Amino acid sequence: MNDVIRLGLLRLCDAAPVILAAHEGLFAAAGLNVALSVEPSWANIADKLAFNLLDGAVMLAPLALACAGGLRGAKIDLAVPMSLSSNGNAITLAASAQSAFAAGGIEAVAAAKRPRLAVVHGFSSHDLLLRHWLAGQGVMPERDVDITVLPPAEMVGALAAGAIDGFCAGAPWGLVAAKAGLGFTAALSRDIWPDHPEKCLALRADFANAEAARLDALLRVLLHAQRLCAAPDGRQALSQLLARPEYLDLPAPLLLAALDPAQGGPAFTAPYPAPAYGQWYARQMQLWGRAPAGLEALAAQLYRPDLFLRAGGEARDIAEPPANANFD
Amino acid sequence: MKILLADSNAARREALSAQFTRLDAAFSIIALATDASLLAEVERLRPDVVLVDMARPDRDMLDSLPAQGGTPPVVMFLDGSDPAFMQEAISAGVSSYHGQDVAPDAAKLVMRLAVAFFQRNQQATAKLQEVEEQAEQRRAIDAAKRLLMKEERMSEPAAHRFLQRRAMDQQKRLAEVAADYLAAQTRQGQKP
Repeated sequence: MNDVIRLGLLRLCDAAPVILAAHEGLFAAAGLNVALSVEPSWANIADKLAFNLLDGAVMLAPLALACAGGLRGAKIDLAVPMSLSSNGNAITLAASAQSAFAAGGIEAVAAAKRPRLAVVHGFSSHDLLLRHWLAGQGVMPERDVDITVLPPAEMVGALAAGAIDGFCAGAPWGLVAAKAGLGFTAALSRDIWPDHPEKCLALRADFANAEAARLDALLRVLLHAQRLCAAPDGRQALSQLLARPEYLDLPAPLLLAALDPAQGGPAFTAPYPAPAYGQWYARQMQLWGRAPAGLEALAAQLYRPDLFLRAGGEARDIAEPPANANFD
Repeated sequence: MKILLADSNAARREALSAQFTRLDAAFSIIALATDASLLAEVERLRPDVVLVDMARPDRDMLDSLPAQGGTPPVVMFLDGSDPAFMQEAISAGVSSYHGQDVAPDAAKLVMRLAVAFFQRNQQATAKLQEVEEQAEQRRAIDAAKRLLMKEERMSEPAAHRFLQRRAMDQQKRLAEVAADYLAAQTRQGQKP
């Protein structure tokens, strides 16, 4: 069996384990023929998974839930056998809001002017963590704040043009805005849910269920690649790899800073696909009216710790989800 | 029917616009301005159909809009009964969104035409790339031969044989060997 396994990803720091595994020949060494497909949008990833042009992808957990639930485009039978990263997102606000924020937090910023905040996709951890953060401080999404969608690479430009007042995006975009003096970090996503699951590996269920040997090998390679990405002494080389034009196409020194977990960058140390992760995101989607009530039950089926354990992964490092925010 | 065309490829955009208008005068095509925000233009113009080049990252702005009363086109074109056509469309690199009141048949007709144009453009681009690559390889081989003739005082046939032998030994293509040789010579030339 040497069929190609087609994996989709976006130009983001937390795609590092998959990029590293391909670049270092780790897939090939395990007898796997993996082709990476770098996509410009989450919509492309979802469509290609739906119509069998991809076998799997580095995916936003809420988008995987939305696709599995048929809430976006064609319903896709998916399996999530592994978490690929945790943390790594930041809420950045425009520099002009800094004094109001220092004095009275997001409540003061929203009181002065109804903010327009951007997230990377309507079904994203960014959207749900941002909403949780806002609501926890009495600032209600939609009532007090507009939330819109922008591609990550366009966030900084939109902030500069005044089209948005802030955004929640993954590394390195918050850092890019801060370095340009356009914005400041109001909160790191890990402050909202410490060690929250971020990207997951989403596979077409027909592949995940039919190909035990290759799936086990794939998960083992990705576990190994995660360990390499998590090693601090490998970060320099990793930043240079990600900096290449075919991947992130950004300066390596910037990526080196963005990859530092101590500064809120993505962590690659918690691969266990706890169903509780999917269930928390599903609950938030239901809470904000983006999903019907059944999604939480579906999340428990979507997440497949059984596949992870079969491949030799260990059940540990489960980040306890936060309680629902107190509304008014 | 008002169609907003979000395609950054100017030649394809113009050809597709012309074809729509020729097909039926009832089609009115608006090209998205280069710097305009896709979402803002969709909200402002309220088109019946939005055709989006899948190479555009801002496709995500339309991807997950909550379908509320009065919202502009948010229904993604989807024909679940024709997965082959869906694959064709995705491979061609075009996606489409339409309003709630646009009939599926009408949406599919628009999509068919767009897919045909995107495919034609894809084939032309691939062919052009192939020709350019061949020309590039030709240039590398000629340059390597010229360098061999100058530096190693070889005749043209000898230089050709030299490269051929090396290609056979290394099991590489002639153009690759030529490029390797040129790169090595350049590196040597840079040394003090």
